[in-house]
Amino acid sequence: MLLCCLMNAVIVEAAGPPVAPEYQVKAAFLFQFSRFVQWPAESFSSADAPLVICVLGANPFGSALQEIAAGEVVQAHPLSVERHDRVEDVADCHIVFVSGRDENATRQALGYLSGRRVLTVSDSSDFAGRGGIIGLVTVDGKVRVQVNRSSADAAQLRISAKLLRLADQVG
Amino acid sequence: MPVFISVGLCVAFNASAADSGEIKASRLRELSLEELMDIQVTSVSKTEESLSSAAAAISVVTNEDIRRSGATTIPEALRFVPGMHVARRNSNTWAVSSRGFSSISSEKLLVLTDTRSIYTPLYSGVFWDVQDYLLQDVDRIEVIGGPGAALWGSNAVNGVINISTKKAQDTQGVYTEGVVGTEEQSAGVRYGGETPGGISYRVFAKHFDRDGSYAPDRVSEDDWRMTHIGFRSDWDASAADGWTVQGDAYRATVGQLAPSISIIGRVGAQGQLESELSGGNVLGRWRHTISDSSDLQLRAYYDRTHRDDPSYRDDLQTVDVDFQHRLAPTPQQELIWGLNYRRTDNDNVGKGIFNLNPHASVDNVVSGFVQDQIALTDPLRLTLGTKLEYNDFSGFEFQPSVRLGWQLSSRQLLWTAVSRAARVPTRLERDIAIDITNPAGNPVGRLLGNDDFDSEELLAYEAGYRWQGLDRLALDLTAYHNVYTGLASLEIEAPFIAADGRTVIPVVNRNLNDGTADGAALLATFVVQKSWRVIGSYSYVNISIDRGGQDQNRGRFIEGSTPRHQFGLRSLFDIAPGWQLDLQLRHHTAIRKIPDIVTGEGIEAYTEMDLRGAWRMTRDVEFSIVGQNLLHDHHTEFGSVQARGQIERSVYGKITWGF
Repeated sequence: MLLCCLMNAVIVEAAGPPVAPEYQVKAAFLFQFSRFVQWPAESFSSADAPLVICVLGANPFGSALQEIAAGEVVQAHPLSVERHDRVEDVADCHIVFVSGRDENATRQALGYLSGRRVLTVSDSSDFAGRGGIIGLVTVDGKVRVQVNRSSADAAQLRISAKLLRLADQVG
Repeated sequence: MPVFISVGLCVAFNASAADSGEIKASRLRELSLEELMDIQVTSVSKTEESLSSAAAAISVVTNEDIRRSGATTIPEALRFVPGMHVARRNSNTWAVSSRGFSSISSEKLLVLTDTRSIYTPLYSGVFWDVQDYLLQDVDRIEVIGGPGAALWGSNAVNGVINISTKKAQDTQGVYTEGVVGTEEQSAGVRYGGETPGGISYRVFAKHFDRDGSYAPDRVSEDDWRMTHIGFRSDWDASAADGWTVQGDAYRATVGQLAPSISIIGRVGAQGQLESELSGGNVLGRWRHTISDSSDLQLRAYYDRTHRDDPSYRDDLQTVDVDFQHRLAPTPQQELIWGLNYRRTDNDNVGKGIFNLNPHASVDNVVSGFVQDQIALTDPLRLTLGTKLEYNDFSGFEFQPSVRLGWQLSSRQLLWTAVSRAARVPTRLERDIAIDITNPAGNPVGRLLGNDDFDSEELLAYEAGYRWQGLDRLALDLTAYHNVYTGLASLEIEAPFIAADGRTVIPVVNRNLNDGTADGAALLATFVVQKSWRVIGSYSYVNISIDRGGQDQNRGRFIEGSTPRHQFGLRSLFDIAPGWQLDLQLRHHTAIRKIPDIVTGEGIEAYTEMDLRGAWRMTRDVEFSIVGQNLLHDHHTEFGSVQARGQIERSVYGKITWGF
């Protein structure tokens, strides 16, 4: 019925296990991925060109992704965040996130972006198993990372050993 | 110290829109991948965010809390919620109450499962013996102390318990569990999957068999068993539309130590007393998002329950349709309004003593509510709400509330509220017709329902303070002063001549008692280190009833049936990766009177302890051993001498396997 008090609920339990809103955590994951993935040099027009994180379709982050990326520089590339509705417009992004709530965008991303030099990330179910590169799945309230290595290889992306060690490998 | 950072973060998030979340973003950014993977995520929609400062006494029992408590039933999982009193009368009945008025039929509490009401209109209490869950799939239990009537409606007088199961997306794959113990055996299995069209679903089945309580002098035993199956499916049809369809069905056999209805001097049900219970429900929900600040929800359910008790047979069918719309008329306001219709079709046929007249009744409740939350100034938030309800028992009920939240800082919230709530009469109070003296005699005393009995009313004054201090310590303090008017009092009235020519001395409920309840509840969470949390709780209540009629008993029982002081202490310790050792201790002061007209003597104070050790062998397999009520061979918690059994020390082993 009414939703009113969920956040208060969070306060009440706050001193328990660390708690944070789902999409703030996922935004932080996207930020971390930018640090643990190596793109081919051709992906950047210059050594200090921006590293672009794009949200395709529905944006579940609110402003959280912008806030996390603001002012950050990764591997000499300043981070920038964009949102697009058409899959053609995200082909030059470095990371593309599609929301699990937007099945249409998910299918587009899986089709159009596969094999391009784009790190595709989604919380759609079995995203990595379906050919995406990184899937975010929630298990017992915690976010787990699934990586499809062959999709990453096809996109010429190198995923650091640390990320691979922490992730579940699928596909 | 990420574990503490995220604590501050939540509060900052809560504080106000003005903070715009900079703290949270920058702090999350500093977390490593490992730390991110350790965060418990909460799905919070825009609604929940902006309603966060809605000021109320809220506690949440999370899935992890339930697991680590070792509880295998919902009442047991509620034991450590501040302000609540949970007492087990025997193996299968509990008194579950909030802010006093403990009884097996605690009627001033609203209990919901995935928004489906589970209290019975027969006496407005909950039959806890059929509220079974695969607890692994319960997401959380929210407990709101005090009136929630403005939003939730009648019966949300002293509290609301809201049990939410997980979305099907979060229960994918196979999960199995098995429990073997001295008092219970159970097995459960769930499978979750997804169809090609993106519809997530789960199906589950569970069976348990629980032993009776310690009651060696009784001829009838209270062991019980249940088989339960169910499903839930969730489908995000588009970014704007979400659908949920769920349902379950159960069949149970529940033993009783004594007849559920007994009258002194009259012979009730005898021998081994067993109730055959069954029921099922199906619920559908559609959520549509209009914009970030506006959405609507339409929900409907059908529910039926059947109780074949040695004292009566009860059939209940409920249809409930609910609509809600949330919008932001101005940037400073969030408005929620809704409409609800509920139809209950109840047929209760007494066996021997028990009798309702008429035995069948169809009753309707139509209600609407509106709540407006207004950001007055940056730290001050005012919430105005009311529910207007029409029901076939008491006519119109107007249940407004005013709440004020003051965010003193990002770590401190002060709130206060004044609310009116009504406890609507039950079928028992309206329709009962039982002879309480020899039914063949003349004159005959008769317990009679009456249409004139009106709602019991509450005016509640509450205040609370929440503090997230020092990163390691969190406090949540609530105090309340409740003023009740028109509480039930059983009155002997003027005799009349019945149709058969005999003289009937009627005994009826009248709204003649008034009273007050003063109480406080405290929850303190101390994070000793990342792997060790200690949580203390304390509840106090003092009830005083002014008896305005002939009935001297009822008021005394209400005053005495809830322990004045309750202390709880929990320790949750992650000894090493994969190993947990959890302890919980509780102390209740004496119950001075039991709500039982016949004997009414009290029950001594008691202290009990539970211990749980768990080993996660692989990511998929966990073993645990739980010892419950370890300090005594058996102890008494609640109930009349005839109906209560002592709760025994018990141990069980549990294995869960899920992938």
